Amino acid sequence: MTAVVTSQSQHREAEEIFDPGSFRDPGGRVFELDGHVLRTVNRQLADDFGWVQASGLLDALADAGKCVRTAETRLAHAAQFPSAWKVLESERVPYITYPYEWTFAALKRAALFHLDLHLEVLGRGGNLIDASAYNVQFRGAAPVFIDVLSLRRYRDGEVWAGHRQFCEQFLNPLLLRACLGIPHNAWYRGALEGIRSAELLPLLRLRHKASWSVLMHLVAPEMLARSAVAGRVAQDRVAARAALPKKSLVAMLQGLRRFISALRPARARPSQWADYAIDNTYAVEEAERKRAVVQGFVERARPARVLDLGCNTGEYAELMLRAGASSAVGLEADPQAAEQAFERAANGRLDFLPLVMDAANASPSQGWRNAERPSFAERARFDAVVALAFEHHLAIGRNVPLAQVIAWIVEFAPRGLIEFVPKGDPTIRRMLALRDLPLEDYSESSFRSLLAARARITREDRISATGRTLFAFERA
Amino acid sequence: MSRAFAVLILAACASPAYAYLDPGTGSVILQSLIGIAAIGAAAVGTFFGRIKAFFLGTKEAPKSPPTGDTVQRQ
Repeated sequence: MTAVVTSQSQHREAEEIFDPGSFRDPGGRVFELDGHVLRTVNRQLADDFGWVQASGLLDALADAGKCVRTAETRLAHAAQFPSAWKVLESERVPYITYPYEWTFAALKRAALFHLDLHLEVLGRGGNLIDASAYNVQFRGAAPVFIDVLSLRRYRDGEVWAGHRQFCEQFLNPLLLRACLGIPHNAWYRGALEGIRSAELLPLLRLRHKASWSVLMHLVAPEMLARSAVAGRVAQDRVAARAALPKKSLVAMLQGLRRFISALRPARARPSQWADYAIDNTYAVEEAERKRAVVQGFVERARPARVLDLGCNTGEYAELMLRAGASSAVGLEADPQAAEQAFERAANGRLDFLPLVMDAANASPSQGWRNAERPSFAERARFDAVVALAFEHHLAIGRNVPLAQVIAWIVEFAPRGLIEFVPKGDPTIRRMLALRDLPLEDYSESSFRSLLAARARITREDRISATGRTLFAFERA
Repeated sequence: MSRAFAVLILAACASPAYAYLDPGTGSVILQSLIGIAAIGAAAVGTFFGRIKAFFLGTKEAPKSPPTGDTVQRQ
């Protein structure tokens, strides 16, 4: 897609290859061409989006770091969209993630960010026409809004069209964890549009429903929807008065903000791995040796973007960022460890985003045509991959053949660092306490030869008396 | 019948602004009720303000500063 196309058929072709996740709003589409993020705006939005551009809202939000910087493009690529009213170019977010991969704290932060953004936009005479969690992305632990076409001119009395979407994509997943202690990730991944109030309400207890916000945003809309379907609401009277004063809209947003600010995860069960950083099998000097090897790897490789597989509470991600890596994305299957990692990133203002994800079941490509939300691997753009105390969780914990574990890790980046944990290690003995798994093929020598078949081993550092070894590699 | 009813409500509630998202019947009815309550509360407030002004013999404070015209008439 380097040449600028000119014929009508080629124009049509260019206009059909939009980002598979941008089909919903016919007001415009997103295209990724030659590394540029372009967004077409159709003529039907000329009045509305013209107002947004003239109001200075886009620049004001971008200056404050709240929205990706967006302006009309001067690229020749614009010629590929002759039917568009405007072609914009947006700043690229380094790594796209989805709410079903976020920690509770990240989802809560995104929800509060969306409400604050809506209030600010209303204050400037604009409005947000939707409330999709997918429109919020993260730079480290800081949220940023990416969908500028959600911004419109405010019209007196218009209802909040995104109310239900906000509840399904932000409020209900947070309530699932806050009321019942269930992480939202698995349910949300299976229901991309979010958790429906009709499905959540039967699970909530009476004491959860005895809350003004739950009554107002979940119980009442569900009852009214049922009454409407059953014909018990006088539709003509309701319809004649379907106007929401701006003050009431602002009060709704502020009320939700207060309610969500106070939500905390309920019933934190003892976590298997959240205390790993302080309760592990390393002696003090072994831990220091491991830190030195990781630091040396980053100082030599100078990676811009690092993937930390099994990031736990983010101790090593922080070390790598302090050693010179520009940004890090972490994968952690244990929700509590991931929460602590997010807290570390937020408190330290680190460019580190830990995601709740089981490596043996990483996010698949899904949604419309299985392309709307690309898989974790498809989105991966990393300069280095680090897998510390990780491979044995797949190779032994999940019975994945060692060769496949190595192939999977090595594919993520041109260079990396993998810790091999030998079978005599106390952690593996604990994992095998209740089962008798034959481990003939699991050895340091087989690990070495399997890795050497896929990459050049540049360094080996033994870091523990039990034989744990860090292998640095570079792909051929 | 029920579907036609829901469509009626949504069509009647539809804002003239461009909207691609289905806001959901329950949410729109809820917001309509909030809107009615807000307008009702404002009306009640104005009514009591007038009664109070009548009995106390005071005038309501002007909601906006006097315009140039008013100053000229004085």
